[in-house]
Amino acid sequence: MALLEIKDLHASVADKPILKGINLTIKPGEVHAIMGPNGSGKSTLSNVLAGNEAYTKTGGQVLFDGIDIDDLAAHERARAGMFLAFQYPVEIAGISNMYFLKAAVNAVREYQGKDQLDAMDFLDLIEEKKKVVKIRDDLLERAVNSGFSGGEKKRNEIFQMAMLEPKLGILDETDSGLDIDALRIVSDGVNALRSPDRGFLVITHYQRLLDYIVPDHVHVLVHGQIVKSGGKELALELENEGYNTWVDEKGA
Amino acid sequence: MKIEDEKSFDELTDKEYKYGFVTDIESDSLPPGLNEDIVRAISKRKNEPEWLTEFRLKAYRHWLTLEEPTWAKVEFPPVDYQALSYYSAPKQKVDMPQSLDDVDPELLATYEKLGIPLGEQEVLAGVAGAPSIAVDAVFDSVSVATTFKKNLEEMGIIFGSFSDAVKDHPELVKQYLGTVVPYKDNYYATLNSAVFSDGSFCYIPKGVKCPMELSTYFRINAANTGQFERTLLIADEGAKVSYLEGCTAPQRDENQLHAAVVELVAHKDAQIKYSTVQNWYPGDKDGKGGIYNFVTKRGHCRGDNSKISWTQVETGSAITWKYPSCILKGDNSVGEFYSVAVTNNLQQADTGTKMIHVGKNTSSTIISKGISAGKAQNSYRGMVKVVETAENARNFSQCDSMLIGDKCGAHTFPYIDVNNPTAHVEHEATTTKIGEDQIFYCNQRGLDTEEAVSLIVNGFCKEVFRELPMEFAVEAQKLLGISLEGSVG
Amino acid sequence: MDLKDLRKKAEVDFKTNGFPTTKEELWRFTDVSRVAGAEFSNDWKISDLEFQPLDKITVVFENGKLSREKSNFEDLPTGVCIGSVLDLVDPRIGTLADAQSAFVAANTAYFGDGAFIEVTEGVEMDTPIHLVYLADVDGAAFHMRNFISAGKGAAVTVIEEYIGLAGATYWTNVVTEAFVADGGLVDHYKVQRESESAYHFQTLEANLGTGSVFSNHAVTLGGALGRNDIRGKLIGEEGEAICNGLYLLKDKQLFDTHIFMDHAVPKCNSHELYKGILDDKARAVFCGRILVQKDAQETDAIQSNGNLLLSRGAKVNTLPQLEIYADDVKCTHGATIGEMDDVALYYLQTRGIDPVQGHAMLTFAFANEVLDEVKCKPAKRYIEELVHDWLHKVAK
Repeated sequence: MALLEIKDLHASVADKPILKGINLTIKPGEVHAIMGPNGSGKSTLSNVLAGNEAYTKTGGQVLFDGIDIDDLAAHERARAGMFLAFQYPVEIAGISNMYFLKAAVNAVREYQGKDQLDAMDFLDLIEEKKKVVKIRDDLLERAVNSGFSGGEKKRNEIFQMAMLEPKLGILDETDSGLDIDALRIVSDGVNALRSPDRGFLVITHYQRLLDYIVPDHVHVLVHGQIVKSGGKELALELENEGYNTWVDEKGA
Repeated sequence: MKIEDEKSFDELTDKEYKYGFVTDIESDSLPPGLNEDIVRAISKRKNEPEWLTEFRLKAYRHWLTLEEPTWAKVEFPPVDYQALSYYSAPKQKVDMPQSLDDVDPELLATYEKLGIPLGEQEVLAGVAGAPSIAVDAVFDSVSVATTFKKNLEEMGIIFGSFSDAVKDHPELVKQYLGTVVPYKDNYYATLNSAVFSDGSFCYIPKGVKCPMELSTYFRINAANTGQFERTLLIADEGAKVSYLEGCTAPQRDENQLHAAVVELVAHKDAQIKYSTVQNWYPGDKDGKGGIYNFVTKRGHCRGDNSKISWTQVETGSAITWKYPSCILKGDNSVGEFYSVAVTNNLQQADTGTKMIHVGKNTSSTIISKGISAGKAQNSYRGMVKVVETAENARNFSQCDSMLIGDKCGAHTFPYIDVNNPTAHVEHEATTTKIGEDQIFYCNQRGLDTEEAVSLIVNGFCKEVFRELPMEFAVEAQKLLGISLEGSVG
Repeated sequence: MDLKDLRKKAEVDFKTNGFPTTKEELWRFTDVSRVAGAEFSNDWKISDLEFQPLDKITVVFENGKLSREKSNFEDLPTGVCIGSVLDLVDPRIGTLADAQSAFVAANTAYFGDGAFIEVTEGVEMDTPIHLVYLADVDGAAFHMRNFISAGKGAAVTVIEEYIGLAGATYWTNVVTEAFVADGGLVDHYKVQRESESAYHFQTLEANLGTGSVFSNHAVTLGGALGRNDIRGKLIGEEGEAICNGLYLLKDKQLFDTHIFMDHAVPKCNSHELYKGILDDKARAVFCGRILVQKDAQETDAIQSNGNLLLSRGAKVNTLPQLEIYADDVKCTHGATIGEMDDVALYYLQTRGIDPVQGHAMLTFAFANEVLDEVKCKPAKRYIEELVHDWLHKVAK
């Protein structure tokens, strides 16, 4: 069974149509990349999938793990195993990263019918996941994303993903604002999390990220539609030719 | 790098106020002093109806019970209200000018000198680049000429002197006068209600979008005269208007009082944009002379979806005391206040706004830029009030101050009063000095320090300037440069 | 003027001038006629109230009088002196607190006891000094006078905690004067848990010498009507003043905070972070004034006040003020009043946290930000507990 099935998805923001019929299927274990120029609808797609109420789905269907997610609120989608790594992770002053993570992990565990983790078990889990994504202890003690550098925020997103063990990871332009070293660390984290039963949707503007996270499928998103799909070589093609051919064609 | 340079400092502060000349014109003035007889005499001279005389007298009697406010951060010797003359009008050849031909040529020359277009010919003849602005010129206390009156009348727009409106549209004046700024409002507004001489009146009928900028140009000429104009502007349902106000005064050694009242009413779906470039004589570098600008301006968003936007550039006056405000009564109504206040030498400004949220989903924006140089004191004072009934009110305020030199002061006094939990109110204020590194950077690119300061300050004020109509924005930028001349060596 | 004369003069001043009214700018939002119109007794009894000692040293005042029995400040390090302000005299007492204030005048005239804390030059006191004020005499007035002095390079932590009997109406009127000498450090806390019917007023004034640090965290939960007047006077270069606060108000509580940060000399920093959460018909007033005097160049002053209104009927008046007479300064202030941040709530949701829990977390986070700079661990834990309890009560 497909992990994520998007059928003819339409969505708008503030009454402006952005997505105009997206079709996409992700099977467990697959990594799909969505590439597209600015304003093509990349972030809209990730926010619609995650259930951001500022975005309105106006048509089509999204099945996650075989279930229509229309009626699921954002936290219910998260608990069901959908994880969005934000392009701009939100700063929350006054809540420590640790406290935040513990609340999130236990919320997901409760949904899965598992016992709540106590402080000791939770610390063990942290230690275990630190092996996957390196994160400094002081970042865990600090308030969520507050005063983090761009790279630290993105790394924190991946660390959260490691902690929450989702079925589907959506990376919304995780590479934006990262230097080459930070990019490698974040990518290593994602690669370590790849597994036969976990899927990824990697949204990016640049091919660069896909040198590190090698996708199985690449889709080109322009003006709210997927205009071409292919293998990983499509990303290289785009790198050489740019989006102009697509943009011009559609724009004409 | 040392910013202060005594020599050029002195040189530059000696630059003269460009509009400081006096027009030699015969005027008809009342003797100095204030009492009920004077109030009656003003009313009589203007052939006013009984109800208006009564309005004045009620205000005068109330004024006697009031004391001058002292809460503002300004200092000045007490004003001798009995030493002022409360009425001064240029003597006309005929009773009221019927056309520009009847206006004293000296007067026309004055406005020409000020660069105010009172001639309609140019524009009507289609001279390229001539701005399409209807002007009401107020000389001392009296409106002397209104251009484009006929064109506007065809659209049902009433625009002209306040006195004419009292004669021709008494019902409108009676209906709206004092409904936004009641005669009891404050010391100066009450005084104005008693002795106001003239001013502008404007009514935009339902659904009419005024096709040109309307403008009033105020000029104080006579000595020892207080100027008390009254402006009343009404935008009926769905109407839209942009209104400009400019002011200058001759250079005199005595302080002159200017206590005006402006009332705006915006009905349902109406929009009013009111822009002011205030360049009254600021006094000399030792603080001698200059205008006391004590003005009450208030707009009432009476209907749903109405909008009132104030933009002000305050560069003149010895003392400025004014708080253009919005009462947001209609649901979804919007109030805006964009202000640049520049003080140099010994100027003092205490200015800001009040945004009173009453209706649902009302929103207001306050952007204030204060620049203080020389020994000047510049204060922002503002109030944002959200009453119990104002669901989902939104306010954003940004008040930035810039200090040039170490002898001036910049102060910020916001009052925020929230009585509804659904409100979002955000206030930010910063105070910084002009950056030496910025000046050096400009120097290195070939600009002298004066130019650099002007450039940086203009950048600092950009958010406000872009709210001004084009012609005014250019004038405002120039004024800013002139006002700050000599502030940095 | 010696203390005796000072007290005489203060009594005359207080009797002549009386209490302030709402006609005065500094008191326009806070009507103290309830206090002015009431009669208060000097009655005394042994207190039945309990308290939780935060560390080894506690100084307990029960109903306005030092209780040596309940206190514990015996084994003090050399250079540290703790006692009653009545026994230990310092000529600086009364020289700092604003004599113009009616509450200060009343306190100077009538104070019946208070803490005296002195740490001499170079002594760094590790253990926090916990001052506990217990009040359970209905109808009484407690004028408490505290004196804190840190010598050159000395360091001390002081926690003032006010605890009252539920339902009792009384008036606590405190004046605390803190002198921080060059290079000294005073880390000061105030936890106000007065009875919900009590009146609580405190004037806290600190003098900061060169390179010294004074920090204050004021947590307010109790009192029907109250006010903190806090003044930091930066009189030596490179001083640093931190004034943070949290007010959690419900029912018809009215609490007023007036802070005056006075930068008299160059190169000083001041930070103020105040947060308030208001439920029911509670009302908060916050007035923060930053004065940068002429020549106080290179001042860095930041002030921020945030308020969260949980219910209809709650009200906030906030007046952040900047008064600046020097040009080479960095001064900012900000104030916000509003509901929960939707974006943060969404972020929590995408991590599996439901909106109800998210709301609770963000409310706590809002308050908790104030505690970020708390250095004293036992104080931090204790305050966090109080905040949790309060939020829990309000949520019900």
